[in-house]
Amino acid sequence: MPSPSAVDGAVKSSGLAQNISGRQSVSIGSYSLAPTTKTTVVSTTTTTTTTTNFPPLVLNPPRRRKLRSEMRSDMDLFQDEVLDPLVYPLADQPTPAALRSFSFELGGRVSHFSESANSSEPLIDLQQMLVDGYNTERRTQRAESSTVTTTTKTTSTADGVTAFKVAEATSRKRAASPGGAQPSGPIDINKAVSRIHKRRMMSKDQLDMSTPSLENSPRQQDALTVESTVPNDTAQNTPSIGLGLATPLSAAPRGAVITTEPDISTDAKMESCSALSIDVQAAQAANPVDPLSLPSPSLSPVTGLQRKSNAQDYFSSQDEEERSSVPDAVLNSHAVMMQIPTMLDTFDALPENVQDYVMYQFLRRCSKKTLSVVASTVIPALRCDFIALLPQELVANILQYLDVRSLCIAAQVSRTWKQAVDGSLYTWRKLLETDGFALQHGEMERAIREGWSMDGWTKSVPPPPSSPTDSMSSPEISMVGDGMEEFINLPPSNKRKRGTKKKRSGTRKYSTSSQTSVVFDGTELYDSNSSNPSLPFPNMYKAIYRRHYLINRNWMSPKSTPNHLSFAGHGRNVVTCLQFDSERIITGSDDLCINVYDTRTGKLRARLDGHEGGVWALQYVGNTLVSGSTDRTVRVWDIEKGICTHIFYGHTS
Amino acid sequence: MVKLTSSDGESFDVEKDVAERSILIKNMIEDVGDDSTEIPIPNVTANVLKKVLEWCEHHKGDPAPANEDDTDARKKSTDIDEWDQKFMQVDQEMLFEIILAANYLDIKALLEVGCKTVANMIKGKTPEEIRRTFNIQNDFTPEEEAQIRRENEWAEDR
Repeated sequence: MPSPSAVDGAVKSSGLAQNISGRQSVSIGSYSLAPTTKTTVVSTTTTTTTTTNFPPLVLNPPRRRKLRSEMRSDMDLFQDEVLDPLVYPLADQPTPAALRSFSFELGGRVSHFSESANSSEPLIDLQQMLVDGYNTERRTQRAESSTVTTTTKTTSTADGVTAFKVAEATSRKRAASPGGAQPSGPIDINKAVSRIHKRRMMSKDQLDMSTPSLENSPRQQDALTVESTVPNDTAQNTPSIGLGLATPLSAAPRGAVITTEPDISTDAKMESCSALSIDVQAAQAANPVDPLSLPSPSLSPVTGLQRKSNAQDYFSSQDEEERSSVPDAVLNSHAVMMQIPTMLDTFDALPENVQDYVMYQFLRRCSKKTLSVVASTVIPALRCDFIALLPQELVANILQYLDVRSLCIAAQVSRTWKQAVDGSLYTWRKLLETDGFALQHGEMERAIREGWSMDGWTKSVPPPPSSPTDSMSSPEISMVGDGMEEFINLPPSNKRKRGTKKKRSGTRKYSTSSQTSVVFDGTELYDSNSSNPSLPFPNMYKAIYRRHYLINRNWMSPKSTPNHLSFAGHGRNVVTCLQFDSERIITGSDDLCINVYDTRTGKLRARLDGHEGGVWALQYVGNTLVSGSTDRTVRVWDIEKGICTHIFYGHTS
Repeated sequence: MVKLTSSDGESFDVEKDVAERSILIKNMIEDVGDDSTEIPIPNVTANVLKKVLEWCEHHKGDPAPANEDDTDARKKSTDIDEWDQKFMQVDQEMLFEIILAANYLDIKALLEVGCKTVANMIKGKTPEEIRRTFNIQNDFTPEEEAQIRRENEWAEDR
């Protein structure tokens, strides 16, 4: 990468800005090219010689041109208006440092562009230079080879004048080329062109003068000035372009390129200064057109470009004359519109960081309204769905910083987000740990078995056959309030019965016909719900977290009050054994009976009679109850039906 | 000094201890055993690399994180150091690139800051606000949305 300071023919450009008419100032950009091949020759003489400087680009401060005739028909056609910073917030802003100076590659050459920080001084110098020195320089240049030219220019740069270097010139040409192509395009520019020609009659003389210069030093600017004059004259531009291209290094078609493009035209002025009068006229010619573009707000960025073309700051008096001479504003306005494709093509042709710079210049010319249109386009475009786009592990990395509430909100954003949040076992397991909800031994198995879920929606999951190993571990049932009901439900072992029970108990708000099978083979903790394939079955860790979270909250909340339920059991007889889950409590007593109660209500659901001695031991799995009694028998019961299915004899004591 | 080359061909001369904030680069330098070679960073473009190096420069003196234990404590909080906050005031595209680059270059602390920044953008918002923040389409049907809302309302403050 050639750095800007690099020796070779690198062209440097400097920028100048001057305060004109108040705070808004002209910015001057300088371009420099570094043609590698030629540098060697030049470098021997001096370091400075190496760089090819282009005439500075003078960017006029943003201002709005108004068609005066809209207001008063007899006055000058156009009026400049300093932009109100309240409406044009960027108009007064200095160019951000990041945009101020950059290098880019243009036509295989490394070019450098910079805008001078201190605008006023350089400008004055520049003006001076333009008036005095530039011509002389030119002469010398013509006489000498292209390299010489470069040198002279460099000196000028030293003065603080931004110079467009060769690189720039080339870029310009490039940009211009689309314009050159335009005549063939659909738009009929001829009218406009002819208009302009008429207008320019005066300027034409000057143009002619410039032409000779072209002949003298074909490489150099000659063509430039001419072209700069008429933004509309695509035809004229084209030749100039050709010239510029032909002479890559020396061709310092300073103003020319710029002028071709309305946006750049301002810059052109500076260069054109050598052919002062011509440029001015050109600028003026360009100016009347510009205001016309204003009517379409959506186009405003584009129009902004055109405004630059005003050379008035410098040559205000001339401008005045010119303006008055402008005949038909309307026609011109059409011409301006015709320029839009060219402008866009030009923009497309610019290297990326030049585009940055140009775009910034556009923005400076935009009102808040336009800026907000831009913002509403640009900001969403730069937004980025991190959760959807980042790799999974990075998503988990982000999610680990979210609390449970944010996670649950995030799960509601979109399918992708839901998948990311609910699908992340890592996130929820981690959250269990960090929030101090230690996963108890066997809890996961139990959660799967019991089909813990996020609410009634997926709740009626029939669990796979289960073992009641941890059936004693639900002490929290006693304090569960209404809100807990749906999730503390322990589904019975078969669906059919569960359905009937639901109707009976009437406590469940949600019932779903969906049947979901939960597979817990150690890896797969959720699968899809058949009735809702788009929504994955909740992550078991999330369900466990939810349970812990709610239990914890109920414990801590003063609002939740435990239910106390007491009911008469076996009269005055001793209860010798008991087992319960969230649905039923089964007790054995020495009154020979086994009672089945509803856990929630305490209602006696069934009474199992048959033992001839006190019942001292019992255990159930699913719907099967096995009891042992002092009558030395073991009986097997069907709990729901309330019948004894088997009796085993044999114990003798 | 170490010379890093971004994916788009721009080179950066960086002090060794700055570059070695990146474990990837550090290991590379060790492997090569010679810090004069140019190190290509094929996954990071110049503008992102520049930003990342700016961060590394500022944090070059940071003590290495003690160990894993201490990361857990930090993880609970999404507090971000003031300088880093300012550093992260970039458009989302850039933030995205920074996170990817930090991950690729293995700069844990920067990755952490990036992820925290995103987390902070999510926190305390409604789903709709989050959608707007990240320009996301709501692709749930109204029924699904209601259902998902029911599923998650347990975590809402009451």
